[in-house]
Order: sequence, then C-alpha cells, then structure tokens
Amino acid sequence: MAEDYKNKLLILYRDHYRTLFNYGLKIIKDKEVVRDCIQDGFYNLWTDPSKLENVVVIKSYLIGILRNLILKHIASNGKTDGLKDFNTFEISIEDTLIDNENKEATSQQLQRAISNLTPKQKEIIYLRFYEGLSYEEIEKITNTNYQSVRNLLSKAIKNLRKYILNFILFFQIFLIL
Amino acid sequence: MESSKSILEELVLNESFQDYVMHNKNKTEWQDWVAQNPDKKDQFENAKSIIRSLRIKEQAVPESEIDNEITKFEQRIEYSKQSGSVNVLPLWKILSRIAAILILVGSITLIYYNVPKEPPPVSQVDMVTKETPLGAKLQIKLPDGTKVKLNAGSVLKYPSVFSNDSRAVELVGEAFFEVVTDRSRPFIVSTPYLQTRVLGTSFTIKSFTSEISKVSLMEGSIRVSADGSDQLLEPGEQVILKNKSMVVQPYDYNEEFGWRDGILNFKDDNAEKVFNKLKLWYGVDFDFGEQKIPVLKYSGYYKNEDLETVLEGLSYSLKFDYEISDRTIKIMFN
Repeated sequence: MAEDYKNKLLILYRDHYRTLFNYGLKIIKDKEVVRDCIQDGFYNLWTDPSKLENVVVIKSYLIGILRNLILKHIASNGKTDGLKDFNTFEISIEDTLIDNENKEATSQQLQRAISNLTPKQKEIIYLRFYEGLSYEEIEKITNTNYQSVRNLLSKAIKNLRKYILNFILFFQIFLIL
Repeated sequence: MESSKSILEELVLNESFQDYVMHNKNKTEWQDWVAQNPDKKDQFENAKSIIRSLRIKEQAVPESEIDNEITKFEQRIEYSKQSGSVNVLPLWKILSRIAAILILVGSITLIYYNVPKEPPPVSQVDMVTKETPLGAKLQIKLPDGTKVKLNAGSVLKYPSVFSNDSRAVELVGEAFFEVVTDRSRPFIVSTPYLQTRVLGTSFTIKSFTSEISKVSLMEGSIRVSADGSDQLLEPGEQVILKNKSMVVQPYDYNEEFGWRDGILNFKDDNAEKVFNKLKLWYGVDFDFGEQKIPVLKYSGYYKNEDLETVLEGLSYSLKFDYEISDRTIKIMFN
C-alpha cells in the first residue's frame, strides 16, 4: 500500500520534474532552492496521501504547491513582505522557434516587450502559452479570478501585439511588394 | 480596422483557439470557422503567429539530474520510515546510493523541518557530543542544517533529532553558529552561565567555565539571558557577562570571529592571556619554571601561522626566549 503510493509519487516526480524545475527557475534563480522546494512539495504529499485524492489536474496542482513553497522560502528570507506574490518572473523567448525569417529582430523586440510586463502577466503567459494550463487552472494557482486572468492576459497581449504586429505587417508588405 | 483588431484580440485570448494553435486541438472547429469567415483570414493568421511566437526558453534538464533528485527523495522517505520504526536498509541499496549520501546529509535537515506529524519519541533521541581537543577546531552540521564551528577546547552537545518546538544545544567553550531560520522552532544555546535564543542568525559564543562569557552577533537578532535578566543584541554588538552582570558593547571583529578564518588575534592582551590563547590555539603547554609572568600587553594578529612564527613575533614584545620540546615550550623571560 505504502509501496504503491511511493511508486506513484516517484512516477509523478519523474514526469513533472522538468516542468516544475523550469517554472520554479522563473521565480527564483537559485537552482538548489528550486530543487529543495520541489522535493519538499513531494515530501508533503508523501506524509499526507489524502492531499492527492481530489486532485483533477495533477500538473497544475503540483505547480501550485511549488509556487507556495517558493513564496514561503522568499518570505522567510525576508526578501518580500507578503506571501501572496513574488516580484520577479523572468521569462525569455526561444528565438529559434519563431517561425519567420527575421528571427533575431523579432525575438529581440518581443523580449523587450515581454520584459515590460508585470511579473504576474508574465506568469500567466507562461502558464497559458507554455504549460498549456487552462484559465481555470491558472485561476487556482495564482489566486486570481477568471476575469482577472483574462484581463491580465489581454493587457499583456495588447502590449506585445504592437511589437509582434509591426513585424508581421512589415513582413506582409514585403511579400506584397 | 478597429473591429479587425478586436477580432485578433478575441482570437488570441480564446482558450479553444489557443489550444488549436498550441496543441492542434479543436482543429475542425477552427478550420470551419476560417472557411466561413474568409474576410478574417488575416486576423486569424496573425493571431496564430502571435501565439506561436510566445515560445519560452527553457533550461535543459538532463536525465541524470532527475535520477539524482528522485534518489534523494527516496532516501528521505526511507529515513522518515526509519525514524518511526526500526527499518534495515538492504546493503545493496546502501551501496547503490553511496553517491547520494552526501546530499542525503543535507536533506535530513528538511525532514524534521516539515513533518510535525510524527515526532520521534523522546526516549529515542540520542544526545550527540562533539569535543575539540586543544589546538583543533571542528566544523559541525546540526540536524536542522545549522552550521557550527567549534573552537579548540570546547564541547557541544545536541540531540540527534531536534524536537518540534525548539532546537536546544549545550555549549562549553567557544563556537560560531550559523543558524538556519525556522520561525516555529527557536534555536537555544545554553552555556553554564547564560542562554542565547535565536531564530536565524550568525554569532559566536564564548563561555568557558572559568572565564567571562561573551556572545557576539554578526547578523540577525538574538536574545541572551542570564540569571533572570535579558539582553537583545543588534548585529555588531556583543554582550559580556561578568560577575553576573551583563554589559552590551561593540566588538572587535578579528577578536570574536577571526578564529574561524585562522586568525589568532591579540588585542591589548596581557602576557598571561596571550599564553592562554596559545595553549588553546596550538594545544601546547608552557613551562615558566619559577618565573612570574611580567605585566606586559600585546596587540597583533597572525593568520594561519605556525607556532614558531608566532612565538618569534611575541618574543620581542614580551621579551622572552623559548625552547620548544615536543608539546611543551619552556619560556625564559629576559
């Protein structure tokens, strides 16, 4: 029984480690802290198996646990006052994946635009467009209601659109000519 | 133009559309949509580009790292089982995990950190005693991860497992503590004459039975109590307990913390104190014969120097000749 549960946790650990590690690194750069927080999260699940019973989407549940542990860590080191939010979320754009020819310019512009977003906007973009979590799951993880998630994302996209569309338009005109 | 913009936006924010672009879901639905709205095809394509361009760079994680982390986790689980009941790990398991043992030492820390549920019964908690002979120092890591550097001629006692409500250790002698923060369990150092209570912080305590006791704070905050009175210390301050009264004053860094970095410090020390420090530091004995130790003072410091170099330096100021034979040094004052 305990052995089954242990194996289940080990599988989850393996399956979600990359996701969790990468998410954690966006909040805090110290890899060791991220690893420790991931482990503490799983360890808490080990000590209390009931926690997993009603979980529907395991991925977003694990992300939520990690998020809280990292916030706790940051707060205990006195770097922030509250536990509710962090003040950084660092994402950078994968330039090799942008599917047009003027890769470098676009990715630079986009990177600049992204760096102007708030940490929360960045986090939502990340969870939605990279991790593919639903608005509902993001709502739970970030303690932000559905409409706010949508609004934050909308604002973020508006900020980014200028840069992305400038490029796209430029590219289209070029094609027409 | 205005409406085409908002269509673009609607599309980008639409979950079903996002899933279509990212995961190729709802494919027919969106292909139908664009077929029925040929005038919106541009917006449709632009919205796709926007979503596609938001690819985020990820840190590559090698399989070996995941293996390593999982091994650590298994170790931690095993360890927690053991603390409840006797559970013998098969030898092969131990051998196969030898690489992870060092890391395990680090993670034992966290086990008791986060598990208030199964406190180990008090009777099972062994006390660990670490003792340094004269002339030697010792680096110790406590079960909660707190680092202690024990100076020469000192004794530290601590439980192999800390309880859930406090982390209590006993010290006779001098030690530097770098305490891991744990708000729910204060760290308490008891010495024969005083008690120091901390949350997470670094400081030294010097409390040999015969001498005055000192607690010096590097960072954080601590409360020192002795004989019913209390003193709260700020970083840079020390409290000196002498004749049952406490005095707070700034300290000399090299004097209080230098020993950790191999700095042997003398500050306005009289000759007797100088020789006592050497005794402790190098683990040697001095033979003064029938001579009285002169009343001379000495200031200076030596970093990682051997005894002979230090004696050579001291002999000019304190005016003596010396003869080293094994662990005893014969001193002849001029």
